[in-house]
Amino acid sequence: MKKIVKNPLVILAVGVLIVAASSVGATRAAISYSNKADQVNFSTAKLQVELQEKQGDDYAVVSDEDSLTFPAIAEAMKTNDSDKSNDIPFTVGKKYDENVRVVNTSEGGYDEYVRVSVYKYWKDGKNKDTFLDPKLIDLEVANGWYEDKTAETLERKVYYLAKPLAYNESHDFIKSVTIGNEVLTYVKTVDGDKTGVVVDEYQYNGKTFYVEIMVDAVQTHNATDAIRGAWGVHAEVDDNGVITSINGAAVN
Amino acid sequence: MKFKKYLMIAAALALVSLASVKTTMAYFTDHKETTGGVTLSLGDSRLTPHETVEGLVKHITIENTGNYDVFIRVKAVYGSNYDASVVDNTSVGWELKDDGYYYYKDVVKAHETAPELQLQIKVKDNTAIENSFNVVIVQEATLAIYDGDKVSADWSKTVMSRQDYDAKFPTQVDGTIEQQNQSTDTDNGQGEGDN
Repeated sequence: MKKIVKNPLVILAVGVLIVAASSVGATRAAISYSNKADQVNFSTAKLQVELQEKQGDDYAVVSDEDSLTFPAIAEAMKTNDSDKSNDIPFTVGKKYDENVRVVNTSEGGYDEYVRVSVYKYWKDGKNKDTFLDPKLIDLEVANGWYEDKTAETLERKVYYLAKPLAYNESHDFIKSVTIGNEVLTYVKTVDGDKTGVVVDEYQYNGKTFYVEIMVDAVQTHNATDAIRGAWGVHAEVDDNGVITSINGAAVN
Repeated sequence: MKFKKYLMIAAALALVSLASVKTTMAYFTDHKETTGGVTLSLGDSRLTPHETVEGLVKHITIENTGNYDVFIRVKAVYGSNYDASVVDNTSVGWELKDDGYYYYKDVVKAHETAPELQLQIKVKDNTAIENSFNVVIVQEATLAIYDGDKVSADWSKTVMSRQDYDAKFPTQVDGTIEQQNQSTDTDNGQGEGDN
């Protein structure tokens, strides 16, 4: 007996066996019988966050490409006229309602920290047109969000919710969208097809403004490390779980 | 030898421990994203005048046949022996300003028509009257400027110069001789009726 224990290969084999046994536990549990009275289900928490857009009277989940529908704009542009040439175009400078919110839909009833990144840009057909100005796409952001200016680029803005978003709670994010009147000044006057006739060509005519919204959620437990690990920023959190600073900048 | 034994056991335990801690190394996170867009349609305003004449009264209506909301103004052009003024108790919403234009106060939305403007033509000196004369009606529009929930007109607004335009959008230069060109985005039209 002493000899066996002393043999390192035996000890190694036992170690491997223990590791292997630890990985088959789930399989064994799946095929074992238990009646309802004895059954106890364990599951890990599933942290979830959703983006929702107000469509009609209710909010709908928007989680795919082109799933933001801008219902107020669509309604304003709708015409009952069968003649397509009478379509009412998007009105530049007008503030259109657009309600997008984030919702904590975690399984297990956990609160979460939320960060939203918004990208704004223009497209000419399927291609991004970088000559056109993203700043002319104005999104009105709801109260309660802290904008991290250090993360801002021409196209991107990053916002944090300082307070954890409670389970099953929502927080409004976007309230309206406006395209700046400046787009109307970028006009080139060219000769028309008849002598003496000039035509105004609008640079932004036929271009599509795009809004891309990304939401990230992370657990509230062990907040500072979790936020650093998930988002790569240093956050300080007070005793109530409220983020007080991001990368050294105070969160108001 | 005893040390080696303990070392092997410790190594095995460490292996087991490592296998079990991998889930706690990560944090619970989630990520969702969405996109959406709207295509703009921009162009000049377009007006269609409608005029009828009853005696010395001109009935003028202006239809916005373009796709954009506009503000409109109208001017009557006539010889020095004539005059024109709004018929009393008509033409609600129209106002004569110092520049000689009659301005309609509200936005005329796309495919809508502004209320009628009635102008009374007067002859100052009947002895100098000719067989016929013209009173020409000029109508102009400028795009309605929306600022959030407010709307206004800017009749002095100009588009950017061609030079600035080509500097801002360099790939748009089409190789033709560059010209400096400044224009307003107003739409001009004329209508006239014999009296």
